Amino acid sequence: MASQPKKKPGKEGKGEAFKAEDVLQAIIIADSFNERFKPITLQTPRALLPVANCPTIEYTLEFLASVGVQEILIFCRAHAEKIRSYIQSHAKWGGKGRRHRSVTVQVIVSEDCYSMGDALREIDAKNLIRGDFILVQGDLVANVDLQPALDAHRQRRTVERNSVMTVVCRQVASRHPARSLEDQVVLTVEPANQRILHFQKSPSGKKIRFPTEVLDNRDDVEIRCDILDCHISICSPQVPPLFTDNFDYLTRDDFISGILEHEEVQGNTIHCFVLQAGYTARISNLHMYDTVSRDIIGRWVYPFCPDLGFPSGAGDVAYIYKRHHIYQQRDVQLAMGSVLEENVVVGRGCVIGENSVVRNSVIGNGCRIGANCVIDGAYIWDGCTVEAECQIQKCVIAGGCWIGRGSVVASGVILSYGVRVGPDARLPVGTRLVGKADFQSITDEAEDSEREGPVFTTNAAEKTILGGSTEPAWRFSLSNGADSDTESDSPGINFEEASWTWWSLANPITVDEEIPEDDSSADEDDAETEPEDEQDIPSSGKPRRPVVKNVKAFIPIEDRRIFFNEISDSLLRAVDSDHEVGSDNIILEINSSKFAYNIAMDDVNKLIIRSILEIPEIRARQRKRELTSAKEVFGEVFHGLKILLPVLRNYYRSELSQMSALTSIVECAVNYVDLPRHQPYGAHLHESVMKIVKYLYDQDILAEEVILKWHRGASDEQVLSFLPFFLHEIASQASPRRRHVSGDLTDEDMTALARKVDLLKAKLEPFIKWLQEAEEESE
Amino acid sequence: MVAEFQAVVLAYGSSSPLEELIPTPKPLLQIGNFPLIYYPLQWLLKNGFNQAIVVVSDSTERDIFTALAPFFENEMALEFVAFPEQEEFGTADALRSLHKKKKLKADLLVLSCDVIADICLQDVANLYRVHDASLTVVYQKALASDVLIPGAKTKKHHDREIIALEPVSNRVILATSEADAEEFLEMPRFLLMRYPRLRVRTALQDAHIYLLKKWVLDYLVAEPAISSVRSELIPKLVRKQHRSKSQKSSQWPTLSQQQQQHPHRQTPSEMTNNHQGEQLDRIAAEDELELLARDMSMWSDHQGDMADTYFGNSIRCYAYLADESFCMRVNTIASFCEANRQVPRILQALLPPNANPKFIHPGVVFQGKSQVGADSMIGEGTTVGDKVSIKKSIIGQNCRIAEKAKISNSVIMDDVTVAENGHVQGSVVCSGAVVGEKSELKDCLVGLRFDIAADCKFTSDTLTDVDQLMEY
Repeated sequence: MASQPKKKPGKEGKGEAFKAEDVLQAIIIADSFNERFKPITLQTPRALLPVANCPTIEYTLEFLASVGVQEILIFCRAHAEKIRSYIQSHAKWGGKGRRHRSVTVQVIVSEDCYSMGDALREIDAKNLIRGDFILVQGDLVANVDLQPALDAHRQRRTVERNSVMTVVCRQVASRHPARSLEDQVVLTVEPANQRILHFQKSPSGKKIRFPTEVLDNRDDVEIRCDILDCHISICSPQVPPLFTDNFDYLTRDDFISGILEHEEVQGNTIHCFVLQAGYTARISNLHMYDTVSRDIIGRWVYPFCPDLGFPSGAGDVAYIYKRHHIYQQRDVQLAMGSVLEENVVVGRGCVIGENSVVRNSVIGNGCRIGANCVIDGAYIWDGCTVEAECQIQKCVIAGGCWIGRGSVVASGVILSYGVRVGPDARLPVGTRLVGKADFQSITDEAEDSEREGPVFTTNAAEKTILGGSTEPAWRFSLSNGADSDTESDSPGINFEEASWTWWSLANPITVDEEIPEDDSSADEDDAETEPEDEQDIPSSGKPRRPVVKNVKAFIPIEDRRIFFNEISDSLLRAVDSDHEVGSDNIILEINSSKFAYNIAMDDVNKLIIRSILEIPEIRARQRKRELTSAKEVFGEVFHGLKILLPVLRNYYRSELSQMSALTSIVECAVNYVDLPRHQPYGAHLHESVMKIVKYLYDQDILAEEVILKWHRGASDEQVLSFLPFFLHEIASQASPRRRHVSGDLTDEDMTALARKVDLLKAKLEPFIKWLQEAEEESE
Repeated sequence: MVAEFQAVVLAYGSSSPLEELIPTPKPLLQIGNFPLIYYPLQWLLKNGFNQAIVVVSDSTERDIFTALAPFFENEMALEFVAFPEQEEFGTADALRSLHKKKKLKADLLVLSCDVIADICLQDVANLYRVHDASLTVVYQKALASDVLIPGAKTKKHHDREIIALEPVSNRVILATSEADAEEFLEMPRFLLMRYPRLRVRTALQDAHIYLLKKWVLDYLVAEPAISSVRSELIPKLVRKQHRSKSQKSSQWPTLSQQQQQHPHRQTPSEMTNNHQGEQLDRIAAEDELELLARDMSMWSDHQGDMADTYFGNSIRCYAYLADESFCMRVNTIASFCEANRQVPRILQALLPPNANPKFIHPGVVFQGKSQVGADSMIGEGTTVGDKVSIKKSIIGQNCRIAEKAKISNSVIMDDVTVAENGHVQGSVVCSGAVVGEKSELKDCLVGLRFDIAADCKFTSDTLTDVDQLMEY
């Protein structure tokens, strides 16, 4: 069955119909150039992550072979050798006697590429392209028939040499589960010839705008956001040179936008082809990993199903397919009373213990599941051991993990390779742990972070010990900051991280709190152990309200303080001068300060808004005049915001930054309200919060979704997790009984803070309510 | 259909496209030797209506009545409703007054007196019925802008309408004009989520044929500010479609003090708006049984989500696109000429098959041999001289076309004289005008009783008495 696709009609005939130079080529970009899947990808390339027990790239390769591609170029960067050896060792693709005889697979490695654009420039330099080719990502899972699209492209190319690309999309409903929320496109298309006139990627805001210039000289266009774009592009040979000519094109989306922008000058056009049937999806984040795995199990990707000889992972034995979508290998041992309920894949040599229940899960080869376990929605990769009495929910457990007896693994947990937890571990929602090997590579990388480029530094792997484990495991968190001292605590919702919390994208809570640990077996001999870890922590091991330990890191380090003062000066000058200082200059100043002090973007975003909120107070002091009413305070804030609107527009474009702004406003309001130093200004500011938010909403600085998302998602822990900057002030001023300034906050303080946030939320309630209602109304 | 719809033809004082040339009121302009208002009424007759309300102004009532009497005396019961002429009395005002006079009993088919169409009303009605629409609008193709227009060249910027349609059902999702959209066309995100595929058309014009639910009239009464159906009522209904019903009047309690800061949101009429919203919900409320039936039905107008059919909207506007069949409005000189050119085709379509319309009236006197194209019409009492050539032209009654005159692509009204060797090409010549010997007219408009001396040549000119005075 695995060789079935190549026998598809059309393939046979093509060999004769096309001359030698018409060999159909395909390029797989097998590197995502992002860090989505860290820490799992620290050791394994993303292309080799198992999906339903089969490496991702296998789906992409099979798909390309099935549409008649004869030459496949795999472009890789990270862990390139692993991909190369995978291809060479698999008889199907490499070596002699390969099963897809008509397909040659070539692996191209380039360590210096940091984007898809670089990859295509490299391909152009090596002159590897001979004709039209198909460009896909290495995480594509599809079973569509590309032949009509290829025909349409070739047909068009005979008439229109300048048609450089055909974007292949699948028509889907607007809330189709296989549409990744971060990969939404809105196309404006000319219906007669399917030419793309305008391209928008994940537009934000409550109104989506289309330039009316596409309507000039046209009386009929189509707006389509009912399409799932999974980056299958049929490219003309001009595409790689175009990338070379325009070195600012990083991604395919840049390319499309750029071509459309310069359409009048260069005359190049892009068309689209909308498929009506078949399955396409990209495993672009963990949310999609979950979705696609389910779809494969649900046979939407037929014929690429585990029981049809596909996946041809090691061993090449087909699964047995039973009803309720249960796939299992022949040698799986199911103990008495164990139940495979539905949507389950169980790999070779697995043992499932007595009375265990498995549903909606994939279990890799050679796993051992103990007795009385409940596994629901989990992805457990090869060689894991889950001891008895464990409860595992939607999570990814990479190869070789060991979960001790009686552990509870909550949703969204990610355990990287070789992590050992338990017995009786309690992994709360969203925990990500790495093992020793990963930890090494993280620290190596961090040391190496001097060099240019998007090197990912992480210091976040703090050591934690879970349950009764004797092996160390480290907590891992993603952060885009550069400052390794502050970033693990950089407050705010990180959407990069939010995409990890796939179980509820609508409620992106980054749980950045420490894992409650048992004090029984602190690993004292490890040098990484930080002194804070020695604090008094309840030894219950039960999940409890997160405690923000390690408060020291919350206190702004000197750089941040200086940076804040500098931007405050800049902004104050702008407000004082009343429009005379150009917003461009301000932006320039802020940016240079940012680089000078190496401040993370997220912090910049938060500090700008905070500074603006402080300006009225500073001005009032300078003028030696108190602002006596909330109205007056708002008037002043309003004045400042109005002048700085262009600056705000510059910084708060993305949803992420808007969320930072909003949380920063909330922080200020919550914290100022009873800091004696800021009275009575703080109280008045607190009163005006709704008006400020409303004003920013009206000016399109804050998108409706962001506000609603914040409102939905802002549980008290979350607000606490982006806790301030102010903490030491509160600690020292509000509670004089503090032992030391940098001391940690007690539960009491936390509860008090949470209450304050709730109070503020109640203040915003009318506005939120209005937003929710207005959402539906058209006027 | 008669029981279902009540036909209303609006022949009330809209200005004539030829008002600069001839004082004839618009409904009585001659198109192919029939008064303009004959065409919509004949279309209604063809589609099975045997009665109609004709809204006219006081001053024209008698003329229109007399003009129509010979055609419809035995076939259609025409009820004339006259309103005194007054400024600012729009189409919506007329409907509102009719409603107040309790003349309207069923859903309405409203059309303007200047519509010449041979679209199948059955299809339009079916679109209306299938979706139980509040409003169905017929859109026609706008005339191509490169058509040669007779008369002096005037630079007219034409504002195109932008209409976003749901491609399957042809529901109108958004209606605006190019001038309103300016640089960007803005689309609320939730609308795009609901209707992820939209066809945006710009070359369409409102054909002034509407099917309306009766409650729309109640709405008109409730909103006395609406004066025009096309430019006010329809955009308003299109926008109101997307209101969600469950929404109670949204209060915005604390922000009323901030009006000075947010003028664009806090309109003074905000409270009344809410009030109006509720009122509209009440007016447009659908029959509960029908809602129940729809709720229990498997059918939905959209797919991919679990939302109610029509997203629970009680107001629904649909567009019928008259892409293939003939449909036009005579509201410009260009369309006047075009309509005249198309008359033979239209008459064939509108008249019953056995009517066999006579394009050349039996009373025409031919003095010798002349060429008359099959696509031309000549009215009663006209004399046509020797060696005359007439192509693609409409010639009125009691004209005199002298020897060797050539007329092509033109409209010649009644009592016109074209002297020997006169050439008239692509022009409109109004009643009583005289084209002198050997004069040549190309793409000209000739006003009422205008005299063109011999041996004159005019191209793309408007010739009226006023010009005459100024020139000589």
